Amino acid sequence: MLKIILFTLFISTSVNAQSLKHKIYGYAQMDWNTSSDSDTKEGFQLKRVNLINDILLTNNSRFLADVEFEEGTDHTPSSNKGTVKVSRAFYEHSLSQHWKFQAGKVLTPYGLLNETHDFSIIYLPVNVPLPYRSQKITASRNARLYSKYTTGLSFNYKTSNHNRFWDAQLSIGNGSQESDEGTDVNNDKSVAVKQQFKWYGDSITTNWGTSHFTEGDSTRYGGIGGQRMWSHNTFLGLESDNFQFNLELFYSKFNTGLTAKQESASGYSVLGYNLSDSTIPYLYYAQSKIDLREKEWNSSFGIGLAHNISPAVVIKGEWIRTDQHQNFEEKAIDDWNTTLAISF
Amino acid sequence: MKKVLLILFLIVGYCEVSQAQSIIVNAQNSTITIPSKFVKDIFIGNMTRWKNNSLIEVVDYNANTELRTEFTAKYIEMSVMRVYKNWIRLSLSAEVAPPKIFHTQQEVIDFVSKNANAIGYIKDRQLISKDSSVKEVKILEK
Repeated sequence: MLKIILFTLFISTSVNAQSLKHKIYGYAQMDWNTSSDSDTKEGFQLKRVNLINDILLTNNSRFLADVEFEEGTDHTPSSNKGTVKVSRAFYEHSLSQHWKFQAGKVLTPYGLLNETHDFSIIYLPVNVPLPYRSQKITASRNARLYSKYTTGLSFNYKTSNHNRFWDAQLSIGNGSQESDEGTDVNNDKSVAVKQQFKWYGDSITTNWGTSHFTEGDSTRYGGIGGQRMWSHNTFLGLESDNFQFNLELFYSKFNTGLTAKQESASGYSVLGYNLSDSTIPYLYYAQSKIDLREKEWNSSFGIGLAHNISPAVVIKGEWIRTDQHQNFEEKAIDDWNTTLAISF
Repeated sequence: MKKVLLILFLIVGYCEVSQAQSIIVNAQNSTITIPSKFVKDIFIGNMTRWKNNSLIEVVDYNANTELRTEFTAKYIEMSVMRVYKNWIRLSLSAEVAPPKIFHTQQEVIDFVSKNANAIGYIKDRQLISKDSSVKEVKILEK
């Protein structure tokens, strides 16, 4: 299927090269990690190379395909190792300066970091913050608080007043939840709503927003029907020429069985101070209470340094200590993460 | 006295030419003036469409060029690094494609002259007169 899509994509772009505007841009990331946790993959890893094919069909419509080359890790299912896949592929039509809709596979409008395929070149942490990772939902299954991708329809509204921008997104479709057990394919329906306000002030850019995600899935949490997840998020991003600050808070509720319910709360913050235009040391803190009724929670604290070799190339290193408190057992994990990220 | 006035005149004239940047668009573009706040919005990627809803094609220079640094400081009031990161965020989130990057003013003029929806900026106004398919847009200050 992938081969057909790629073949069609390349044929269509070459045939219509004269009439269509085709741009290719993207992102590459290579990591080196080491950890005190024996379950964590260590060493070098070509995490991903993404080629975004952006084809302007008319003045108001375009087709975008994000082709991802991924090395995979020892912990991904064997079917996902060393994959080439279409991460996103959608048709977009702009109805006016304010309205547009997309049809296809898009990033779910949820949270601050999920607006890009990988945040590492823009935001400070190397690895995805704790609340964005899979959480334990039942004894046997993990799941994220949201689906990274949605296949369906997405409606976007954007308006502005001088240097203040507000946009809202609604997406309806099938979620594509990636859990530790791999990608679930038999998801039911998902709905995500996100609104965000951006204010480009004279010295500080403020980005505040909320997002909500719900998904019903008859297979997700062990094959029992009628299960549903609600997840709410709010975020605040502040950025100036001198500092960067991000804060995100999450609250989620899971129906994990006919009567069982689980609530979780989590959040993280990152604060970086620009020593120069290109060197930013930062502090990171995250906490996740997996089940509000239980005494199970994880927290992470870390320090890191990001250095832009050029605006398009960033190299980062960080130390993160994660304390896991589960079932009256405590465990501390030290992770050293470095990354080289390039946009082109 | 005349010599002194002449020298002063030349100095002032030179400073004006060397400091001002001109916004250029394709000659087919109906835009005549552009408020400076829109200049900022366009060149950080927040304003992506012209009045007729066609996509704006932004053209810029390498991050380390003096012209880009001066333009960014005057009209965008952000560091080039922040502007660059904003574009990366927008392009990786599939909002809009990143701007075309060129090294020289002539390359920018050539691109704008061939693309009806393009917008760029140059420093040497005299380069425009050589090419009638590009026109200067007056910036309305705050």
